[in-house]
Amino acid sequence: MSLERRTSEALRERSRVERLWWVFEETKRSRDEGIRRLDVDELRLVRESKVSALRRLEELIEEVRIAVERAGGEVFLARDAEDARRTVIRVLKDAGVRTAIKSKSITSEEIRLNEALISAGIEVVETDLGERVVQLSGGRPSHILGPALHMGREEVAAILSRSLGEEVDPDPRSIVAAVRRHLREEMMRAAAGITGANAVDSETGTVVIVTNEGNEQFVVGFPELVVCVAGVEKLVKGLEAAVRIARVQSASATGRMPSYVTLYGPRWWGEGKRFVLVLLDNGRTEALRDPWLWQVNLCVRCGACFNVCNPYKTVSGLVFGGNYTGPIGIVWDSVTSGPETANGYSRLCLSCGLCELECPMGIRIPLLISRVKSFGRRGVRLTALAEGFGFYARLGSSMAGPLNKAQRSRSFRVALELLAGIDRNAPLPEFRGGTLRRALKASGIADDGEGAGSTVVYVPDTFASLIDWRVGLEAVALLRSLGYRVVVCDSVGTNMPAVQYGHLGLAARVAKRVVSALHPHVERGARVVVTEPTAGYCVREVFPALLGTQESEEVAKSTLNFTELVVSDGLHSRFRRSKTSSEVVYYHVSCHGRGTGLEAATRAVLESLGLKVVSEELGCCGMAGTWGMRKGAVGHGLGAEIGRMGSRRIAETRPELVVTESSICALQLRRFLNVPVLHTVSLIFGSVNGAAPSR
Amino acid sequence: MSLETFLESCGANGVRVEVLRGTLELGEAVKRAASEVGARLIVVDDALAEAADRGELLLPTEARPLREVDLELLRPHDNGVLLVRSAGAAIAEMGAAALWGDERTQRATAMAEHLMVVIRAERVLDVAKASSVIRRVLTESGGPVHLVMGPSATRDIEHVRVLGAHGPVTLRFAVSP
Repeated sequence: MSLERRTSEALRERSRVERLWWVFEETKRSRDEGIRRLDVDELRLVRESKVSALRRLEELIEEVRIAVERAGGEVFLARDAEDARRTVIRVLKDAGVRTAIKSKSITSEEIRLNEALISAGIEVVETDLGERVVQLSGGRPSHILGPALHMGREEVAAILSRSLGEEVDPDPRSIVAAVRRHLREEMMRAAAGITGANAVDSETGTVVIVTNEGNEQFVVGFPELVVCVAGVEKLVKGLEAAVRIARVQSASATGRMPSYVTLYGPRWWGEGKRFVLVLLDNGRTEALRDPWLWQVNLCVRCGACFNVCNPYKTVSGLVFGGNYTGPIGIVWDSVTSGPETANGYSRLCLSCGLCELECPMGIRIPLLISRVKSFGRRGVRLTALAEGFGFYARLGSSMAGPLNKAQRSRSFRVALELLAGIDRNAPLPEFRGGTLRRALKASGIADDGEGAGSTVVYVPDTFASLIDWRVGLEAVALLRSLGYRVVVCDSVGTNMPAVQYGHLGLAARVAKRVVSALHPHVERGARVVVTEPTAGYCVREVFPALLGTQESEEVAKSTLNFTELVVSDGLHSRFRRSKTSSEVVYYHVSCHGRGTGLEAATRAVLESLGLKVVSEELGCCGMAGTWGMRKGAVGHGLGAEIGRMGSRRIAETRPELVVTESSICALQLRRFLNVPVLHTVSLIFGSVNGAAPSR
Repeated sequence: MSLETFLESCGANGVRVEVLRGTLELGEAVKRAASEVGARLIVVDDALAEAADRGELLLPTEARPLREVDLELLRPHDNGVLLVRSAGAAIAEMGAAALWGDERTQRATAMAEHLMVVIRAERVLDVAKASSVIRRVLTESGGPVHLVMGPSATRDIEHVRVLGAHGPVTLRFAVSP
């Protein structure tokens, strides 16, 4: 079934959408607390140990082989999934194993081990509760930690009732009791245990595994043969490093320590037990040679990136996944199964960038996903106008009246959908007509660097340049009133869509052009200011990664969002509110503003205007630039559902006004909220000049 | 690393810890635990039984040494057994008790419905020191070593936390001087 169809079906499962949003919001809350409790050094130590291990991976592979064999165990290095499957089957068959019990292992999902074992006549019993339920259902796990999170209690109870031949009550306690009873016997009679690993200590061959259910004690403790299938990237040097990984993984996964961390390896207490370690490459060492993708090997499989991914939360891993699931799953699938597997669902990623902020290892997940998307691109073919919105914006700025009128016509929208891939129901901006450059000239506001204060170069985004230049005009006017010398950059837009849709060649060319335009100013001591956080994100985060030049780094360091500039210069107290009808504002922080100083700065500005600010971490509004405008379920359908979920939460705070720095977020929020939604700059401008909020 | 850190970590993990003033208090603590969880049988690991034989600590008279117990008694998932085990070490920052020992003891630990772990205060270590001790155990005596930080639990069904997925339904620590 196509991704479009699966997405469309998932969107109809409203109760599941509601449940998953709740689950991931709870998990994030708990996880944030857990991470706060960790010493910052702990994260640094773990990252350093992983980086160091990856740098000398071959040496560690040899070291672990020697350690395991010396202690009586066996090590196999599997080149790919097929090699790993063959090895495990041969080991089990040679030992005469008919039934194996298994603890949850995403690596075994990667190589589709269960299917291979069953084909070879070996029964496999998953022992993790959720994984067992999924196995009995004949489906696939939807989450690396909670495989059955997509299922409701009734569905689980029905699966168990059917499989166990007894009526299982849908109460979670009854479900757990039934599985406990059923699995205990299975676990005690199996001849072999199969595990994954959270880390493997190369010096001793010790496998470290995190669990909560205690099934690992059975999987490792009862059978005579225990096989561990672990990716080579799990190798670290020293037991302490391996234990620290377990600790960080748990804190970042759930915010709590797990109930168990099991350590086992080639040497057993007593006689007669066998240990086999299958180290799996399957694309990992090749990824190490890629300038970006190598980072995926740092992943500790905590699933923190899942918690903030609104498309994932909405459609679940049943749709948002291949062999792996979730944001980092796109990268893992690309590395281990090939880009075609990953690009089977990578379109669901809307490039909000929030996953990167969650990753305890600092993996630049959004850029890695863009890299994966780029593997599916040939040249700079713009597959839809939605991916080259700049063209449409230019058209709109030069013929606003006719285009605005046309946008209200059904037949035009149908044509636009067919020709340009913009969904007929997606919200489109109303064009103001003309450009910011022309508006500045007409208003007489100087933008040529005149004035006595320090120089700032304003980089207007596509929206502020071509669609509705009022924000740009207001920003320049406010900056001038604060005494800055303002230069308005002629380079229009930073082309986030090129990054978002994997046109990295085009993105790099745009980056080069923008950096070349800004760097001479920065060299002379000017700072760069933006009013759209995505423009700031591109300049600060993406361009240095794309270009890797000193110039791009220098420009990045000098770039600030509007409120960051004003607050860092201590000028926000000069904003005096003359009149406003609203007292309580909801501040929607756009995704690319998260993790920067923007949120705190804007709060400070709004509070200095005497406003009470309410804000929550709701993640992406579902628009994500042009992503939510695209035709179909993977685009407008999903974007609208995300917008509806988020807006409902905003409405619950009963705001009189909503502010955001993103004109595109505003476009989405206006659809679902019955209060004015303003750009922060417009609110400030209006407050200072006594205008009531209207947009 | 201080005992205080360990107690804080256990608090964060939601594990109940009793700090004993003397080893002679252990018997009472075990009795209290058995009564609270409604245990039908108290079993103590061999190390504790031997220490009690030597008069180093006091255990309830009804407690049976593991060496004298048929493991079949622990086979049912609702066996009503409170197993009292001694920890080889504990990790302060994690609130973890490190359990190792022979296969029989390890199996009993997985199967018992209730678990109580006795930790000697001087064996509460930081991650680095505990890792070094555990490394020695794994390379000299052998594994597995289980770091226990909570009862067996799952959130797999609609994220509702349910205790006793496979292993002990309850867990408590007793720290002895």
